[in-house]
Amino acid sequence: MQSRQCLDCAKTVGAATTFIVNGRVLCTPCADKKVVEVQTAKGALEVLRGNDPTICFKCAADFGSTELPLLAGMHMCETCRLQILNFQYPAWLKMAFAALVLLLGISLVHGRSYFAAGRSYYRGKKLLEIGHPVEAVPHFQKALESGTTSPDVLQNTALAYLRAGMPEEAYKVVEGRTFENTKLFRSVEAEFNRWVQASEKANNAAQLYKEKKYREAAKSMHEAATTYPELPSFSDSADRLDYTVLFDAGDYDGLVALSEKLWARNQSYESAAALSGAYACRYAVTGDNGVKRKATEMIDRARSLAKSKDEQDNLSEWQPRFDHRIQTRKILTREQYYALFPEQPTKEGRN
Amino acid sequence: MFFVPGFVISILTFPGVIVHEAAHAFFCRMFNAPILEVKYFRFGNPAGYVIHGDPENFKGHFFITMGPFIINSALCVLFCSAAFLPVWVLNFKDPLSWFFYWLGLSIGMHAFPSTQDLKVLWRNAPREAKALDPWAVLSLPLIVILYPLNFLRVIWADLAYGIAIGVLGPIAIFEFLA
Repeated sequence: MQSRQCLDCAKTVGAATTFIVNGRVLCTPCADKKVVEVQTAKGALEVLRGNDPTICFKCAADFGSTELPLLAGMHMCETCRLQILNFQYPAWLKMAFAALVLLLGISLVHGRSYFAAGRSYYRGKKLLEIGHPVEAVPHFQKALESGTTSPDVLQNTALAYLRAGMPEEAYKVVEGRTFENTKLFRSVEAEFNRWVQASEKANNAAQLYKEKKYREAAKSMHEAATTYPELPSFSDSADRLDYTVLFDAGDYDGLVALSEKLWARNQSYESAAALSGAYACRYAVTGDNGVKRKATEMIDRARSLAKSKDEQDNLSEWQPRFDHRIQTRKILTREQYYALFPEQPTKEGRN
Repeated sequence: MFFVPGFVISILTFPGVIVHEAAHAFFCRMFNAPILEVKYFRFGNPAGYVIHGDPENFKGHFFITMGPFIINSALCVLFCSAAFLPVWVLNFKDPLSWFFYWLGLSIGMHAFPSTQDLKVLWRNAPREAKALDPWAVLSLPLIVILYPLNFLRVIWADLAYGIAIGVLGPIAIFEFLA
């Protein structure tokens, strides 16, 4: 063991028990005092532990007057030196590491069941954000299949349904649930309000139609379609009402123009039958055989497009009235026709 | 702001302390820095430490200091990603997922290198950066960011970092996959 003299109290002490405070070698009590003094005076402080080259840093064994070799700036005996150079992790740490890797594996396997639902949710959300709600709907449906009750998932799904023109499905998703008044909630609420406003206008249009106020009914239905353009049935109804307005006014050129436009937009049974009726009206007025040919071609197209039971029933009701218009060149309303031929109509049909 | 004693935090997040010190030890061995003393976890302040000699080069300094930051952050993102969907998105009451989330956050909270480690790196970095050592160049901005953050631990900067990477990391992953 080596000795040092304290520069403050001049006492001789073991070198390993000394401290070097701001460059001065001091014994432990003087070092403590000095540190407090410097700290009180808020001065710069550097404290180093005194070094005894004859005492091992690690095991503290005293090697008398033999100076030990340095390792990483510390004097170390051979045993400790070899121990440090052949550093081994403790067995518990190796086991903990294995456990951590195992837990990571379990967490990933466990989380896998949620990944599909989560991924679908994020995909749906992204599509909704970029304005593709129709494409987003199936992804949200898949996320919902996981059984989640997350307010964000439910509300985003409802939002997608509403923006895709499926308000009934949106209502089913949020029915009976309460949500916090968040930004998302307010968006969903605004969409539902838009739908409710449009429905009120559509109901109003239906009422006006019953009162035979076709022009006002068409106006109200157009407002419904503008308020909630996502629902095609509103704009379809508005078109049908426009058709009724033109027929009622005897504007058969306008009727043909509208029906041709609807046919060009969507080639369905509905638009084919409507166009056949419009051509039949124009033929009744003009006697133009070219127009008559167009009318019969369109009723044939309507027949080939009538796939559903409703469409076929509608065609069965419409065909005799169409034939009567072509054969007699008389334009009768539905009511006038059935007044002449009192066979009860099964459903409401076209003029 | 509320005060929670450091030892309580250490006990609650002990896996993070152990991972941090084990990562230090791992990089010390990798870059031939002799490990003089190591405590993986203890009830005291600091809760763990590694006393080591100098590595062979600056790259060693960089990894011994930043290694735990990288390892702890990566493990935090992995564990939190596995548990993120049931805990935060799908709202499932799944205790196992919450356990993994706690594990991830515990590890992420102890990602910051200590002030002492950053000081050692800072002492060597400017000289090496002048010699265009890429690790030294990379370490400069990291030190500038992490050094003040270390002081902000008193206002839970370490927890905030853990939560940030434990939430934002998985969100970034799932947004990317979507």
